[in-house]
Amino acid sequence: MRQIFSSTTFLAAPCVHRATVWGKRITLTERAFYKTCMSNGTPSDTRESASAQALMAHDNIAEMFKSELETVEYTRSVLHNHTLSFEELLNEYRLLGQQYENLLKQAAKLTRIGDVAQRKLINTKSELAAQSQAIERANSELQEKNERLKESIEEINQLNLVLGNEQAKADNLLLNILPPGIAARLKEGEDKIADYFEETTVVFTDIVGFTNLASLVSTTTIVKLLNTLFSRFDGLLDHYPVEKIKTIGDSYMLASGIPTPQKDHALQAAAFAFAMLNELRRFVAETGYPISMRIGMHSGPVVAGIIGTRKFVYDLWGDTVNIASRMESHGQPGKIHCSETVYRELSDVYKFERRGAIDIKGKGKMDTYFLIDEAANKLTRG
Amino acid sequence: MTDITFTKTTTTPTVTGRVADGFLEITGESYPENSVEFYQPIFQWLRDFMDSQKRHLTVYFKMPYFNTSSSKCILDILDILQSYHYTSGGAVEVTWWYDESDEDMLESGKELSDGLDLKFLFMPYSD
Repeated sequence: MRQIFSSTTFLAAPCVHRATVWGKRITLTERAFYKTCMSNGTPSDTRESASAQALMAHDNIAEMFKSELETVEYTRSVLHNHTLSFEELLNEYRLLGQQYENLLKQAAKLTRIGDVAQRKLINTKSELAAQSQAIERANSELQEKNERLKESIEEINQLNLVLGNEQAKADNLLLNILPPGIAARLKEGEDKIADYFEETTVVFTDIVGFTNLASLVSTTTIVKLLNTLFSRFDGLLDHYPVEKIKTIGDSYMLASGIPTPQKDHALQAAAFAFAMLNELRRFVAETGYPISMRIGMHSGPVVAGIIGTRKFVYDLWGDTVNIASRMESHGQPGKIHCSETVYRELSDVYKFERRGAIDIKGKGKMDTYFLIDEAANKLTRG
Repeated sequence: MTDITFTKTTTTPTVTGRVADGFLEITGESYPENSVEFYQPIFQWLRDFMDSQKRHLTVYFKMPYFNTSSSKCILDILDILQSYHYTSGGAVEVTWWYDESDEDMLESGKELSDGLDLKFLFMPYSD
């Protein structure tokens, strides 16, 4: 049978049967079969077999194409079988052709499915690229918005800074007209503050000679004078635990024991009164203005607080205020006129001069005293 | 003969084969490292079914993605089903489920069914 694989004989055999047995598809089969036959028993056959085995050994391919490999092996066995008759050989050829056709169909299917998968992959890549671009655009927009946000935040911070400064100014202003604790309570929302204090001392002063002076100099000069003098009194406030209440014309009103209660309220008020007299003496010596000052003091309970909704003023109410005011109006220039209550509070510390009973409007006769000797002041002040 | 069940993993689909119902379903993406190793038990289950049951078999494929070696295994499954179809007289029905927005998967299903004599249905689904 060896002679039938000679090139001429074998080439003729499949061609003769092509039209009647396998149709057009056999053309491919014929070429492949011819190639296999021609290489049968040659060194190239061994090389191709080794090459196929190497390919099949890769990544479980041999397992996947097990049946196909069996077909290949079977084909080889047919080629090496020299006992087959020509008819038997043609029969094997027909079966192998069918196998080959099936494999071709499978290969075509897998190729097309692979193409579909690849197209899907490419489409997915395109979609991802489009999405990536969209994300980039969104990122870019986000960055722009972030920049604008940053600018807005900076502006807000700047405004906050300005607002903070303005707030500080407002707070300072508030603290300038109200005691800190009272200002804090107002900020926290309390709209009416009226606190009762059992032990306080209220002080009133009045400039003597002011009316005459007012007829000699201009009102502007008078106001400047008062401003200078009262500013000096204000300066003293830093050194004494007393609270300035207000000025009324040329009168300066203060109190101790409010808004923070203190046991030596009368002592501190008296010390401040002496300090005001000393300051006035210095002022007169410096300016030459012929003015003096009456001071009145009384100790007792008051109600302190803020009422109304506009132009807040921390003020005092009660008889103690009225009596202190009477002490001032019934006093004498350069002296501190005190009620008996003050006398009892401070007689161990200061020397007093008894003035006798005087008629206090609305109160009747009251024993009053002049606090006259600052040298007897036993206070130790820094 | 027993039922077959594979739980879905990142690279392999859920596989459910119920002998009593004559039903096999493969659902999920398929790109295992070794496709043959994964699909071999399914081939065997089908061959056993063919040998022992000889009755109607419904097969669902619902696979949003499969790699090339998986597609070869699907072809082999279809070949087995085709053989069963010839021997059991048309008692096989295959349904190819595809995402209604995935025309490519419909096309792949049609490609796979091309030349088969099985009853092969295409059913869209939406998430």
